[in-house]
Amino acid sequence: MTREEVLQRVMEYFADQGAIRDDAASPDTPLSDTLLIDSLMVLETVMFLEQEFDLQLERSDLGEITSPEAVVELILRKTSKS
Amino acid sequence: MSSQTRYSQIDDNVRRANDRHRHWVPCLVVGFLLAIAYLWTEWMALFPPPAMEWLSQHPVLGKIFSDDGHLVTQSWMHRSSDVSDHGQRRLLLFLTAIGFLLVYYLPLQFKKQPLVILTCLAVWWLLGVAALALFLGWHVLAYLTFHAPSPRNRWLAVYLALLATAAWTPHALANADTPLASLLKVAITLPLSYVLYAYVYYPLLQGRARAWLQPGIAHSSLIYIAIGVGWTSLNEVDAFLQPIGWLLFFWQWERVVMYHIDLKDGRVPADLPLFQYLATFLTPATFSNFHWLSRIPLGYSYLNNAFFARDKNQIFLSGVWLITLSVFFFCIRPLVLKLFRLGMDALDLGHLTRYGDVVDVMRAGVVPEVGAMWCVLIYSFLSFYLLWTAVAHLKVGLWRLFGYDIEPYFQKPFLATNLVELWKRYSYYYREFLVQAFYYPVFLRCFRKSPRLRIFVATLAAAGFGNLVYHLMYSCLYYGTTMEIVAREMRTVPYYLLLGVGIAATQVYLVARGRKRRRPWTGGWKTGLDILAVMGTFGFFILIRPFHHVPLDESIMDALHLVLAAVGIR
Repeated sequence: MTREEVLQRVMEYFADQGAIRDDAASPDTPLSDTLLIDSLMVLETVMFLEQEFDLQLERSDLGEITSPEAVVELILRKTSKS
Repeated sequence: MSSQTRYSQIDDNVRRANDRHRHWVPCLVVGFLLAIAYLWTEWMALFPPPAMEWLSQHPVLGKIFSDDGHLVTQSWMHRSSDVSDHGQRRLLLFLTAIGFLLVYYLPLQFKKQPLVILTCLAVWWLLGVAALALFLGWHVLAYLTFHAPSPRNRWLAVYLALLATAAWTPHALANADTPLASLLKVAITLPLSYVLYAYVYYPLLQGRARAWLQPGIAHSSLIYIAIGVGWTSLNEVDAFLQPIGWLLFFWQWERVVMYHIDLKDGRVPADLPLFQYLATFLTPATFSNFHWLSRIPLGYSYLNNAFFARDKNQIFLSGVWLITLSVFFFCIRPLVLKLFRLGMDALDLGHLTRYGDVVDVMRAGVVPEVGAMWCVLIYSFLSFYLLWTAVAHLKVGLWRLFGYDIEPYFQKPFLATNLVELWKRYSYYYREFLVQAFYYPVFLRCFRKSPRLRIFVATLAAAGFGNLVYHLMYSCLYYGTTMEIVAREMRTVPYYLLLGVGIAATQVYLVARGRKRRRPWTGGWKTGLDILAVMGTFGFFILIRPFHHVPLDESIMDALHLVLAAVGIR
């Protein structure tokens, strides 16, 4: 997948979760500032990433789930390693 | 509701931009705190407002006044019996006013330190020098373990001096020795502490031992309780020594654990100075009901990112608003309960106000009607719910008066349409702690191939097991580290099991529904469904609460019979 496709999929995911307003969100909008995300939603996001992109995330990766853009960076870093 | 885990970093430039003075704000806040001091102490009885006599003698409205003639409040400090409740509250509000003014006007780099000093002075005043020394001693030990400053660090002598002072407390400083003898003992212990640290502890922290020393200090409360319970059981003694200075540290178990989690996740600077470390744990906001809700506001990163996170005047005014809400809920609680009891009296249910009353009646062979059972259940729930709301708003309000833009503890729980939502809205910080400390480790290690089982087990670990461990620990810290207390607390296992299974099953359902999930409170005729969902959610929560409050002279079976009778099964 290209970076743009990954970003699109991530943005769709957050929109589906009702966590972002389509008209207001941008990829670098901090999740914790304007989006309705909490610790359990972080874990739902982990499950989504693991299933959708076949990743294995660790605890230290959770801190990187800060914005759609950061999530994309995390996905690309993890997939390039594997 | 906005941010929860607050991963986003706030830098000092943002904080400086938020540090704009509006001189009317300090005037308003200090005036407000003076008004609270008047309402919550004997000042109100000394200078009564108009119609005070009529109000206090009113059969319903009079309930908002205490026996001492001020507005009811449950703000107090445990074990500070040398200072009256009034004195404690005056001290809390005085510290809050001074701390607020310093935070408001001092430059950014000096805002947090005065709060630590004020807190130390308050502990000294309320609980004595021994308590302060032990409290600081534990935190210095935790700091040395977490951050392992180099033996060449120029501040190390200060850290070790604090530790040495704690080592001789309470035997030396609080009892018979002269101050000179105490100082001599500390002076001898100081070089010994240095040798021990530089040549034993520090090398250990540089090696593999760090992997168990750091969790060891983070969970020292649990270790202390395990040792205490074992000791009292083996030696058949009544209770294990619980100096208040130790308890002050152990009561902060959640925040120490959260600090450790932040440290492991790389969210705490390795070279953080001791004062900055202490600022995570020592602010006057920890005083009111300080062994309650000590988890507010989680660990270092959350706290640090919340400090001056928006315009400071907005933060301080929101703190005033939350404390106003707290005063309101403290007052409304006895009114609501009184009106509820009047209603129950009218229904000839005045003899049933506690679970124990119902059990006594049922033991006598009479099973009350379902409606009567629910009256008792709701009355008991409201009694705690309103108190919890008031204390939670007070705590968060105080934190905000010190510049921390933290989330409300209560987030409109009456809008929760399922148990997962209620868990978050009813006890936000507690839920976050349980998720970080119990959910994450299980979720990231177990059942990765089976998503539903993974979620179920992780949720159960947090909402069931973690919840039980927390309450077990606090019962032991509060009542004593004895097997009797453990056995008593273990009687509540059905409550945590039912609650855990309920939340876990709901979480699995919600994740399975995924994008098909309907967002509640979006208007239309389905609002009726949302209201029903709220009633069902609270109904479940209220129904299982008798398992959490099984009186000593009753059994789990009594609680079970009560719960079954409430759903019409006799």
